Amino acid sequence: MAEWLHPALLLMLGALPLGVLQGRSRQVWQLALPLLVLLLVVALPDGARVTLHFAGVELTPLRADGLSLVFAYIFALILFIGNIFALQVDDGAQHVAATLYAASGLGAVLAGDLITLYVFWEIMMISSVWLIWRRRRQSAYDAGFRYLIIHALGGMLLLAGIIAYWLHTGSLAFEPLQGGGPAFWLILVAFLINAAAPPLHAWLPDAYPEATVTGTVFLSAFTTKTAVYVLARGFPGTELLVWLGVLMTLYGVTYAFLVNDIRRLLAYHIVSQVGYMVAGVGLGSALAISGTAAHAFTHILYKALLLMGAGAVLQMTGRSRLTELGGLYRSMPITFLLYMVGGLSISAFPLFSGFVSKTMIIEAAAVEGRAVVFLLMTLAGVGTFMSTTLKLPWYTFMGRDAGLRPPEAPLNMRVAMGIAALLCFVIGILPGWLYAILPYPVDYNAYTASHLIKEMELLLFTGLAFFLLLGVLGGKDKLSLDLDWFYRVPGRQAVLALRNWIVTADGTVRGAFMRVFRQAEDATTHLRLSGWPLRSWPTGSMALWTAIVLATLLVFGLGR
Amino acid sequence: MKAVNATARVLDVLVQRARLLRWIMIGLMGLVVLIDILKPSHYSRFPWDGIPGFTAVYAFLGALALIGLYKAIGYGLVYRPSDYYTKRDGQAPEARDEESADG
Repeated sequence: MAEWLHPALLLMLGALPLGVLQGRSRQVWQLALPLLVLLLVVALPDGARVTLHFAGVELTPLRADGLSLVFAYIFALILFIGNIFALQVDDGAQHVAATLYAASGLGAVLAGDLITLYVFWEIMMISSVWLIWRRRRQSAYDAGFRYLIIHALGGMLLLAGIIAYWLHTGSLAFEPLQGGGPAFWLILVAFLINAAAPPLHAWLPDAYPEATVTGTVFLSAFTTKTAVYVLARGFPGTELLVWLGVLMTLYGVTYAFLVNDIRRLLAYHIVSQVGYMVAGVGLGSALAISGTAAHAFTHILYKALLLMGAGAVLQMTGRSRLTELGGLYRSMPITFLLYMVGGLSISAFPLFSGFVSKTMIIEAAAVEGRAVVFLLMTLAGVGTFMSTTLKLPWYTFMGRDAGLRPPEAPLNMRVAMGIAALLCFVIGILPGWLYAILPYPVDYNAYTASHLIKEMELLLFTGLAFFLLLGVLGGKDKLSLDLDWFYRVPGRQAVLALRNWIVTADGTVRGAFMRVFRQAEDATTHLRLSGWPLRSWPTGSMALWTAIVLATLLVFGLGR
Repeated sequence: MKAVNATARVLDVLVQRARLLRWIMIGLMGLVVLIDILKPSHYSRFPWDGIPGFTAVYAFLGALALIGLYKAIGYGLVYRPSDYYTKRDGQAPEARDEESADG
């Protein structure tokens, strides 16, 4: 029965009442709906498949297997946690958008064919942009538009790729794509846009920090992780992805140091963490793919926790810049401690969730003897610990007292953060149940003496460097240009120049046409008044013209 | 509210013991490196697997390198005034939301 009630469809229909329900009934439905969907997803048997024939093509709107189910579980779970966090938000549009967004993410990971995937892919874009726009200020509106344009471009590439794939293979099934060819590259680039891989990543740190406090939590979960899933499904073992992933891990941590806004700092860490997953997909071994799925699962939880912590600070103080924050641990101690659980998880601190998942991907690189990949990913771990777990909390909750004395975050926000933190901790100490739901059976133990010693050395000595250089590491009240500069400055200028050129050219052509038209009008008037066409014609002239016409007909063979 | 205040008090006590915490951390660092030296390495996949304390040195130098890298990129290339885009878009910054361009 579970196969025939598509969880994404149920979630989409369930989203509609959120637009009209008010008060307590809206809150109850907001919690009941994700739980219902979670139950439905858990009830999906491994191997469940629904196929239907539509307009001459075979569609597979539902395919549940090891890989898709991990993502489906965590998507349903994070919607529940995010909805607890958003319970006090009195904005129906945001709740509908968040639920539709989660539904389309769920639909995309359960899609067994490319058409279904494409449809959910586009709904994901259209629903998620409202989480940015509902911040209701100019900068959010602008950032949302840039987000929409980039994703619309990605969607177009995906559609073109799907058409090319269909023409080439005659199939629409979503299976691993074979190397080369336009379909391969178009679909890969479309997926990489959503995975926020440089140079196509700038939409993420541009738009996510502009979203609403609760919207960013949902945004961090679905778009990039759907992209990780489709990459793992379509492009496992693609060598390019190993290096792109490694670049992402380092690009993210480097930029995270540069920015001043705490939610933008965390957004750059999404790029960095997704980098581990992209590299894992590129490595392609069973351990790497399982590590990728495990890391996506833990990442969604701890990143949501971190963004909930940063969001709670923004909500309670109205500020989100490192240079304007400090000393909040006295007023928001619970938020601080729960944030730290997220921080220790993302840094792969033993006993926390990141340790059991991130090390799987690094281990997969080590098993294959990829020394450079191993070292660079380890280096990115150093940067992650330094900026997410040391710098951000130090300059927000400790350090210089900015004199802010806000009340602690509301109870529902603390409960949401508490559940996410508890899960981060439980996964960290009992990784067995996470390993049990991975796509491939894994024989991996994170808690070996060597792993523990190396990880503790890594974190403690990173901490040493941080505290030695504490004086120079604070946020700077500056904007750090990223690659979005290319479309925000020269791109914008080019579009404006093109517009001006079209306006000028249009004016010139219209003017020239009207001038010629008027001249012709004048000429005919002049001709009519002169009486020249009505004068008497000599007979010889008429005979000559008739002869010319007949000769022409003869030459072109028209007289036959 | 009770839990919030109690947690704040515990944190305050810890902050007052910052010096003690620092020594505990330094002790822990020494201990971890000591264990690494005494315990033979379990792996021999990479040339550095047998070097005791390699990860500690790598992390410390790596952290310094990352800090140097970001400072160089920031001051050399990408830092701009925080109203860079709002000014460029041809609108007076005060006409927009005050917090619009965060670094």
